[in-house]
Amino acid sequence: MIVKCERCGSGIPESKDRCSTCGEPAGFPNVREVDSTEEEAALSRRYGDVVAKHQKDGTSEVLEAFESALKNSVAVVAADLHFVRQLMTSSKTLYNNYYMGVTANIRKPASLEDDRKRRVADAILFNGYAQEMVFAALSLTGVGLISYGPYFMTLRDIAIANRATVLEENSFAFVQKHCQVSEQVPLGYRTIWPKRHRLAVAKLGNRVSATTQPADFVSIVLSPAAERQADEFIEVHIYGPFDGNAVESVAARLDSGNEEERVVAAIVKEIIVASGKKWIDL
Amino acid sequence: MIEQAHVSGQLGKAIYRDDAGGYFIYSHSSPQPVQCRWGDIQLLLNSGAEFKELGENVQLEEIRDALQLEERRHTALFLCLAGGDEQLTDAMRDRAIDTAEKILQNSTVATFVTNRLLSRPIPDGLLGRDTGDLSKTPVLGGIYEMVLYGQRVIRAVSDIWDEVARAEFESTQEALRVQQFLTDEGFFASVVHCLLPPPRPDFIYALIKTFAPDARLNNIAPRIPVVLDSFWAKLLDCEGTNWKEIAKEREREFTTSESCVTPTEMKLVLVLDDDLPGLGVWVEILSRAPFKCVLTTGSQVSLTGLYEEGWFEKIGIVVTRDNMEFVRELRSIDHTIPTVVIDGGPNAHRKYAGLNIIFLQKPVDPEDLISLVRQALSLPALPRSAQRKTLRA
Repeated sequence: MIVKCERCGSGIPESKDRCSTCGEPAGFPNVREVDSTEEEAALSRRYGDVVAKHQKDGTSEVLEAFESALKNSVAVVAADLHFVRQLMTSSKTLYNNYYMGVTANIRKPASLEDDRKRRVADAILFNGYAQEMVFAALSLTGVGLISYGPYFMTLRDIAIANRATVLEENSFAFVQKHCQVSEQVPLGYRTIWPKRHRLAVAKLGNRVSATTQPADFVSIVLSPAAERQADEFIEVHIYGPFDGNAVESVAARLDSGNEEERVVAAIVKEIIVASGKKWIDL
Repeated sequence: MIEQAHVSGQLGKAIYRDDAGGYFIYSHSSPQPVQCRWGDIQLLLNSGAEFKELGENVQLEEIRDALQLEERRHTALFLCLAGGDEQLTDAMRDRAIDTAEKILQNSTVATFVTNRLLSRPIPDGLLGRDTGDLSKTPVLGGIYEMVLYGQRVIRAVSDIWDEVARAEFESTQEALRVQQFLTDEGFFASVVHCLLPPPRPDFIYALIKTFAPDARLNNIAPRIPVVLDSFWAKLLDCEGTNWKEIAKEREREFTTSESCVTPTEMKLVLVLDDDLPGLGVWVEILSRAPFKCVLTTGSQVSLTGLYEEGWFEKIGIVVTRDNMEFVRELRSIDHTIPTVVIDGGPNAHRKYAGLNIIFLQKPVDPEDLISLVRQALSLPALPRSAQRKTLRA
């Protein structure tokens, strides 16, 4: 859907984050797409059904506790030691001097259309701006999906609140389940970051019962597996990259890997702590 | 078939595209490459890490090998910096130093680290603190010493390069790619080395003439000869008058030698050593003789010069450290140019059998080396006849 630029009136394609005519920011495409009346109405229906069921069962209190916990949920990016080391030390001038990222060396990936068949999930969910998206998992503890790496970086709320949306499951699985025929994303399964708790209730509320303890919420929200396909989680979609300043804390075990890796990990931990961020030993 | 392969030692990851159009990420921690999404690539490419392009149609094994080497190089660099990082505790810095020393036993890794650290000034807070007793870590100790000692010169060279790069290159990308190439080939480190007391600007000029015709460099930036000339001119302007006069004199000698001297006298010594301090030692010995040397830390640069730039006309003898790959390649294009291999190891005569090599074992007697070079260049013998401790294969 093309929106009108508030400044010059030109049409802004849904995949763009600014007006091509006057450069006026138009908001993040994923947020614009999800923050629609239709999407919100569909989610509200699903959310309402779950709330009503709990009212009927007399378990509203547990559901409210669950939803309350979800309001404080965080986006966690799992990575390996090398990546964390790079992200947390790249502000040092010496490394920046050698910055040779995509602009210097790597050719841009082929057009989205070329790759549509192979990576249908990205193409359906983010048609036209998939290359801008970064993924995280919703977590209550700061621990993420080990299948993506053993170091879990929790992102600061301020770094993502305006540009993140959530989808109720892994987008590959979601597209296979819901989008195979029409290649359209059904309504009610995505929302903006500040309303993530409502999506979580709509998806997971029925797994909460009178016997559910607050400690159980953690594994209800995120259930990691050894293989990526088996992970169960709510996927966070962040428009654009982030740097080390966007990281609030890092959680990891320091006793894994060979001697070199353990030394590097210990150094990275000291650097992270010295920079005022939190380190959580697992 | 794999194409568009890039490895990042900083990230411990390789990204490649197969001919069916999918993008994959490979790392040593995952047994199989993972087919990745746009977001995975985005995350890696925006992390500020550098990527090394492997070219097209490479095999996964090549990616693995390249990644392993790059990882170790960057880990060593990280640990070297951590060893002097004021932010870290003494205990952590000690661990970093000990671990770095182990990795630096690999001379390729040590060369990489040295080239990096001598190429750009160290940021505040890194290597600023007393690094303590480094007698048990001689390789790292030597690197620290050289880097700290050379900081003023490193900063000056770096500033001059930045000024030239801003003025001469068409884009920041081009400038960065050239800078990385020159850094990793040891160009800046060699320049710094030649500027440290006693300064040898003539070697810098030879170095520039070595790098300027390099085909890979010219592929990145066709104007590289002009850029390097400009860099040379700015270096001369920057330093003191005396320095400048010496340099100019050497430059004149170099550029007019063909018309002024006999063919035998004009031959140069090509010195190849990927270890910068080692290169300095050979040059110091040879220049005292005095011979004119062309210095290089990279075998590819040397071979390109020999292949494509007609160096055979000017080079009278090649002196290299143990480098089988280079020697084989050299012999495939010329079987007669006198070639000295220093420290070829106990089985060198077997390893280099049939390649027409002269060996000098370490510790090298400077007189032996000088004597060999004089013979190769058909110059009169020195009054003191040197005892040759060599073995001809």
